[in-house]
Amino acid sequence: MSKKFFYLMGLLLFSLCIPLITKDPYHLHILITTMFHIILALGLNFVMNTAQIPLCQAAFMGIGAYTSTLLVMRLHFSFWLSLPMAGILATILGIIVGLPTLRIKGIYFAMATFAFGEIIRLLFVGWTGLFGGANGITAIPPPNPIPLPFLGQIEFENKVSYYYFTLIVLTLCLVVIYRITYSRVGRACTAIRESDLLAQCTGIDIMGYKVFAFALNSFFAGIVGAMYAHYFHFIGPQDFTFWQSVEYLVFIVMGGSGTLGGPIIGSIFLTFLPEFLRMAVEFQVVLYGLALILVLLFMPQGIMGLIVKVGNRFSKPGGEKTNATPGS
Amino acid sequence: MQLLEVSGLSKNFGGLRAVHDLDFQVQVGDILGLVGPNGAGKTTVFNLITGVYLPNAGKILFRSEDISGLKPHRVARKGIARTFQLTTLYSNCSALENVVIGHHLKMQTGLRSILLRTPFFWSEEKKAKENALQLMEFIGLSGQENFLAKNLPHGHQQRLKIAIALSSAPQLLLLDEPVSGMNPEETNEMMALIGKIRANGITIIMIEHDMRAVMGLCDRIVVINYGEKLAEGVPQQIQENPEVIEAYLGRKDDFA
Amino acid sequence: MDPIFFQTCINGFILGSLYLLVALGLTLIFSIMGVINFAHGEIFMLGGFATFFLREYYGVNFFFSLALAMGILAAFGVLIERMIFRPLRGEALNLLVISLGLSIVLQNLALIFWGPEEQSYLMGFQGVVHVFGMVLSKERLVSFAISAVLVVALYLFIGRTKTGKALQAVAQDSEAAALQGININQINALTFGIGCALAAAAGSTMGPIFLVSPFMGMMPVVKAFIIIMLGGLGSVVGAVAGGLILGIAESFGATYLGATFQNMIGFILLMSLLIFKPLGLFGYHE
Repeated sequence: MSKKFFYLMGLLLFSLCIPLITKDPYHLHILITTMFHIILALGLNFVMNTAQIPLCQAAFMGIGAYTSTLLVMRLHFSFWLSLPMAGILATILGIIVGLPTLRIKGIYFAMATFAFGEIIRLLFVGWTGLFGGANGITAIPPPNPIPLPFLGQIEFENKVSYYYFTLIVLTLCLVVIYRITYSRVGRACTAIRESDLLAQCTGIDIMGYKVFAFALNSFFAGIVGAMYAHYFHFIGPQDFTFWQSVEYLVFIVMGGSGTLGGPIIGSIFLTFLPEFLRMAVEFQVVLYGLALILVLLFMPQGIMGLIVKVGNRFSKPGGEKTNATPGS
Repeated sequence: MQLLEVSGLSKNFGGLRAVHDLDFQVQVGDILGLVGPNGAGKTTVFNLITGVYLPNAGKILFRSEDISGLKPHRVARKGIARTFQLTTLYSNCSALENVVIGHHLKMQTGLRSILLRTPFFWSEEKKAKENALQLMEFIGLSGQENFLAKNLPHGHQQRLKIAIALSSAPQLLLLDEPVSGMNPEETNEMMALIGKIRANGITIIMIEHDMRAVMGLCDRIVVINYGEKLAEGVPQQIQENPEVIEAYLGRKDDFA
Repeated sequence: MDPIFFQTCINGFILGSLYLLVALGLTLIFSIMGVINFAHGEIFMLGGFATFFLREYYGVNFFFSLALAMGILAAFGVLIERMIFRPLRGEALNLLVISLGLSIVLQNLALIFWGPEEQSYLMGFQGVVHVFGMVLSKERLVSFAISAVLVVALYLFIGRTKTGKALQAVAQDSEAAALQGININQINALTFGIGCALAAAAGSTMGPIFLVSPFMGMMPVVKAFIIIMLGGLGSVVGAVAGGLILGIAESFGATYLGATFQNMIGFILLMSLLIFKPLGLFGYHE
């Protein structure tokens, strides 16, 4: 076990204690939405590691959100059943969309997913009977309480329970993505990204892995969508637009793509930033845009890139991957 | 025993006949040389065998099994590996990582063992890493493991390509210009390496322009020009074949 | 024949020609620089506002305003290219996000300074023209004419002039072009300037018809992307074809179908096209 493991354990412990430190619902709200963003960014980053950039993240979120909402409100399912079903439905749709589109490269794939995202959004707007149209669906109930033997039950009306719930999901997601990334599956994805020709000829089934990554991401997006719906108690088509999809891309790029820490840091930084900028009132959004520009001009590798550079200055050479040239 | 048999192989690109009605066989344990002037279609043949291109006509039999038209990753699974002429490596990965990635086919870990980090997962990872280190020693790159592939000198990159190809434990290895860009000393080292690979039971087909390497290593040679077979035989025969000499525009001194 | 049918067609043509100008600027910028410029819509918007101020506050003739707006935004474009896009050249994702940042900044500055209301101005000639039983507003005719002139001018510039050929060379292979002595920096700056000028022109001509507001750039940019994908990246002819197809499809959709499904058809069409013919109708093989 390395230093990293202890840092992470410390971070986890700290995260577990936060609701004990502050019960301010506003703070918890920010943390919960940040965690939603992290999960979505991690999933998207996983797909991007197979050299594809989808622009329909929000659509899968929406599919999960509406699925869970409709199952709970129309068919009286328990949230704890509708949650995995939301994920599964999003995954199935992800596979259906992924199979024909993932063979397309680059910007054309991005545009195809963009079109798909818009089709889904328009479906939410247009099919008023099922999805409530432009007004969406309101009064979505929180997750059903979980009874604990001898201890009463866990309610989800309050933010503390939701915080822990989200933290558990985030941790699971992190563990899954970490473990897959550092395995032969993750290496296969790296290979696809670096040279898909070589990857193919060493036995890597490119389409298989691309569809897998896309499906996995759809699953997480669907799950987050469901959690989103039952947290905000209201969803509408305007929550699942192209601009939301782009947002997650921005988190990844700003944090540093190609690493696991990048999407996490990017999500945290860019979810917290607007809160700090609130003080600037009018100029809040302008400053946000300016932040995007300045960070990329001065830190082209994202925030993670800066951290790695600084880290390299302080660590000992040898034993780790190095950018040095042999003989230097 | 015939490991590979190519018959009637043809490939067109639009109106251009890249490969036409090509036949040849490779016996187990042989080193076959595939030579010809630039643009003769040699790399196209490799691409056809490995499934990167679909043949327009003809058959490719590997261990008597028809593999024509199979996708590249399936061809690799059958036991055929290759290197590429251009520096096709995982540039931003370290040399060791490159070889470990190559072990993809040999490793048996499925999603269950990956997600649950079972002891099987760890033992497979350990095996892969040890095997990769052994391979790097075999090809003479010990000590270079942590350098990024893109920073390695050309000669070492050529060896790394071969290590990646070897990590899937292939029966047939296709080498596309393994000594290109090398000085005589490096060429000798590479020739020795190729000999070692063959000694380990791997059959080799080699595309090369360097005639010293070809003559020194190959058991048989197939000469291609304009996508068609020009000649076939042992090195001695090829050296003395007037058509072959003419195809190379009278560069007789190459054959000395 | 049904006059409504023709009217719908003509409306479609005119609509298409307006989207086309935006699309041309975008495809130009993309094919030369590999940048999908999210801020393109804001350039369009600034063009509209520039013309608005020139018309309403200084009483400048419409055509002069148009020319001035194009000039101002072209200069602005060159500035942006130098300061913001050039440092990140080659990094597609970074360019995308930084252009998004620029888009946010410009849109919200406009919002702060000029307010969210939609404003209007006039081209200077009112009235309609009656042709074969169809009613066409003079303003729309003029905008169509302006689009047509600019498109033809662009086509001739790229195809027939030395600089235009240099542009094509850079689009195909910038390294090879550099080796031939073409100054890539200058070409990129010029391309960006032209792209912005076209967007500004579109904004100026669309202003009287669709009203100017800080948000006016968002929708045309999306349409422009669709057009480029339909017609194929990097192709002027493709953009024209794509623009006309989209304009006509939307026009018919608005007339005969509901609004929501009209939009959906466009996207379904786009997605199917990308799956079966990713390079678009006229795009070249990369």
